[in-house]
Amino acid sequence: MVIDTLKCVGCSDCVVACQTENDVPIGYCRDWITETVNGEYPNVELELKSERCNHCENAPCVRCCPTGASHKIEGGIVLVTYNDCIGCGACIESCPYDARFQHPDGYIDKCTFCHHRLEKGQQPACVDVCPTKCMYFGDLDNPYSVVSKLLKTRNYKLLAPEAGTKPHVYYLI
Amino acid sequence: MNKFMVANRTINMGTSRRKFIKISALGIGSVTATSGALNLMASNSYFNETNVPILSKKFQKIPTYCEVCFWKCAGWAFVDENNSIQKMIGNQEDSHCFGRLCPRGTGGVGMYNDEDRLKTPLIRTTINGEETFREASWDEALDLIGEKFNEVKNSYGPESIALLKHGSPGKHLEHLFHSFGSDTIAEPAYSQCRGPRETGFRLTYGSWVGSPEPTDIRDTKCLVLIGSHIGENMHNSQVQEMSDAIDNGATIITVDPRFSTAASKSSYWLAIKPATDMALLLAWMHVLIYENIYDKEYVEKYTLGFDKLKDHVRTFTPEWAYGITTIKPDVIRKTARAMANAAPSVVVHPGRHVTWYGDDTQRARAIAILNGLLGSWGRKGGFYFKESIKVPDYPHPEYPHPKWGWREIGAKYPLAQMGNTVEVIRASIPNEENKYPVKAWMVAGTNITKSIPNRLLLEKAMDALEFMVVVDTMPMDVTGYADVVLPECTYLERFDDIRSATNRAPSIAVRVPVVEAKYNSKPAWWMAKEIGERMGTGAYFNYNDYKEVIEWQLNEMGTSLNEMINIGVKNYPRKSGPLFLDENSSYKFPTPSGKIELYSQELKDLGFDALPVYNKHPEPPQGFYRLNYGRAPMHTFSRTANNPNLNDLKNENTLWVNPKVARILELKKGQHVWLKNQDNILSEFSIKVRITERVRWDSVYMVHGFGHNNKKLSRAYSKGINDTQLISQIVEDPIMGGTGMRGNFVTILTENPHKNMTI
Repeated sequence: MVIDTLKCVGCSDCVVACQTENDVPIGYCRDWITETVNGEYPNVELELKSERCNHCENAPCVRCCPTGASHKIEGGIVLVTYNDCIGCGACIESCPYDARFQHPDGYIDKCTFCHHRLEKGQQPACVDVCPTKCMYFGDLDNPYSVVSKLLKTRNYKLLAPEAGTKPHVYYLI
Repeated sequence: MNKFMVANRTINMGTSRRKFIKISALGIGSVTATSGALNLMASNSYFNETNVPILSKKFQKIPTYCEVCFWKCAGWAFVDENNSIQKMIGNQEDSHCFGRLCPRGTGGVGMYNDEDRLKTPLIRTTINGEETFREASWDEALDLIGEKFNEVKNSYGPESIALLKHGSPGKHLEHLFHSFGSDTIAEPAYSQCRGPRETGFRLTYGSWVGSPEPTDIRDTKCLVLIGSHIGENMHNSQVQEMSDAIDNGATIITVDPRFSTAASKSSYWLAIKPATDMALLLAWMHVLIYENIYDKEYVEKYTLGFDKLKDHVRTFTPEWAYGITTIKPDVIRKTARAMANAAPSVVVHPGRHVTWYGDDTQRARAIAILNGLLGSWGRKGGFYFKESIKVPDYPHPEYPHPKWGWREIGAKYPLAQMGNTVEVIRASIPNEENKYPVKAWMVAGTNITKSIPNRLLLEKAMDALEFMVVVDTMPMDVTGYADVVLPECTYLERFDDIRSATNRAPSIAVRVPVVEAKYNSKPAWWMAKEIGERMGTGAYFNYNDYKEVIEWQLNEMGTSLNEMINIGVKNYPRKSGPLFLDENSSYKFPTPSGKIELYSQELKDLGFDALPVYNKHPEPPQGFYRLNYGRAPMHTFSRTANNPNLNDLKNENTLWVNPKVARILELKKGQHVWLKNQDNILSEFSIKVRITERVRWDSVYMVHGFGHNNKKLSRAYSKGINDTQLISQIVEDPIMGGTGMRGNFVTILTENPHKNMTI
């Protein structure tokens, strides 16, 4: 997933679209907005971005899961099998992005990149709804995909690269 | 001549006949629908027995258009087999949203699910000396309204019944009012919001801006925002187009004392001193004209009064403006040249909420003139010629002719194009000299206690009324002043008028009930019909279901309800001519001269400045900060604060304070403070401090629409401060009556001023 911070206005549409698409109970969220302000008036910079599970290549949450509920599927998406999850919370502790939470029903929940929609050839709900069209989802292994092209032509950053998790959400800057 | 009229703000409060009833504080006969609400949550349960989210449900798609704000995006409600609304998705064919609803539209289902909704009609009554509401049947409530409205009609004339409205319910009630002979109709959307720009652009180009604004932002090379915060105001297609403009590498110039989201996307942010925009606009004109970089051909061919304008702005140099605006002369020149380089693909945006300082029509004129110099009106990347399709009127008898109405009430503002809410309020306060006495109100879809400044005046008027009805879906603060409260069902539960959009090409959209109306709520069209029948105007409501009306209209328009249910939105080809000016033929603007009137003879003849001038506005006194307010993308005015989905995203406003100010006042992040304005009005509730470099040291900022004082709004009650309550100083625009609201100053209190007071 590639997110253009130059276009995001931080409206939270991605948050509410995810909640309604994935039946995330009110009070919880799988994605969220962060706002960073730098500088001193009137030389100020503002960065708004939509954050979520980074579906890391080297995912600590998968490694530390005692039951194998946290797992990676073909294509790189990290998922949780709710029925196998004992809610121990080790994965929450291990995630440098604070992307996981305990669902009120006990299991650990997080962004799935709307796996159920991808299967139908649709985009994740957040990507589909974004009024600024600042989110792109696609195949990074395909050099001709929009996401690959964006990463070739634009500057980008990763979140917490020092954690060594090799995250798969890229922020254009 | 004194250009500004300061509203009278020394009104003595007598004992209030119409005591404010907090709907929560009900005695006998209170609304006890909690069990219903609980059941509702159960039936809406998101999880099946194994606690695994249900993601592979079969959905039915039902078309609607959104009513969470005025943009009215068309979309689909997805309903599962249990008739539960699961999600809202935009209609791909709709030019308001292009398939993408904004957070409010996506969370619109929360409006339907909100367990705090008004559930049944309420009638004011007195129990043990206490004023309260009791539940009533629809017949009882409607009979009472019919009786009281007829009384007022017979004693004073139908004109004495006023309608204050907003949005879709307003249209149905407007028909009711016209049917019984009242044109005493007003809405805050004009004189408290976009009125000045409509009048300013009408004076210059002959047509008002309208909604959605005909700005060709997606193809612009330069977007100029004067205090407009696109992105924080979530005017959907406009936000999308601004994003396209960013992709296309357009230059964005934002003028705002606050570092808005739009400012952060801009090539130039002009951190202007508040209330000095006019000086900047005049200096920009000066640069364009005296550097000879305006669109000479366009100006010669289409405009009138250029020489007078040139003369007028001779002395308004960037150096002159620097002293006023604090914007450096080279920045003023650079930005003017950036506009000229991009011209005619420039949008100097007319703005939306523009009732700021009382000379707002003139500021809108300055913006219109600037666009004229750049040749952007009628040009690609500038402003397009909008078009809509006429929805035929469903046949009804001719309306009677009222003896007076909103025009007469607001006559002191010669160029008002719609009813002035504040003048209707004034006309409701008994006064022997008042030739147009208003005695009863119906308030529909607008929480006037949060949209009308000068609360004392408003309360005095409501106190004097003989009868007041409020129509709403939620127990908004204004319902507490009503004699009868009618619960409207939400947009997801009703048929409504066909939405005819004014856009690049005409289009229509339909709103079809997605689910049955919950509780004992009813659509506004039904209320209008029922009241009409009780007032002897049943002939105007020749239908049993509004479905019949839109079915007839759709057939007249060459489509059908069945077709529209399948497609939701129908786009029509343009018929009015090209989207932009055809340079090879002449074009007559709908102004008296047929030209773009840079110099306005019309204003001159009425005794106003024919060309805009800069006037100095009051500045905050020592220890006070200018109160600025704005929007958050996930909320609409005050109406969404209690929506469970949207409240979850933002449940209160915060007071933005510059770190310098925080240091002086020793404020901490998250600390609760209270505000007191220049007229000693105290904020009802406290607000949390947000210390940020995004705001100037001479002003504070908050998002509008919070600080609800009705306990029945369980999520929104007492959260944050209601900015409107602190706006008691109004500067009225002498041209069209807009209420300038940005000249209020507040001081920050760290101790609770209500602690030793009984409220």
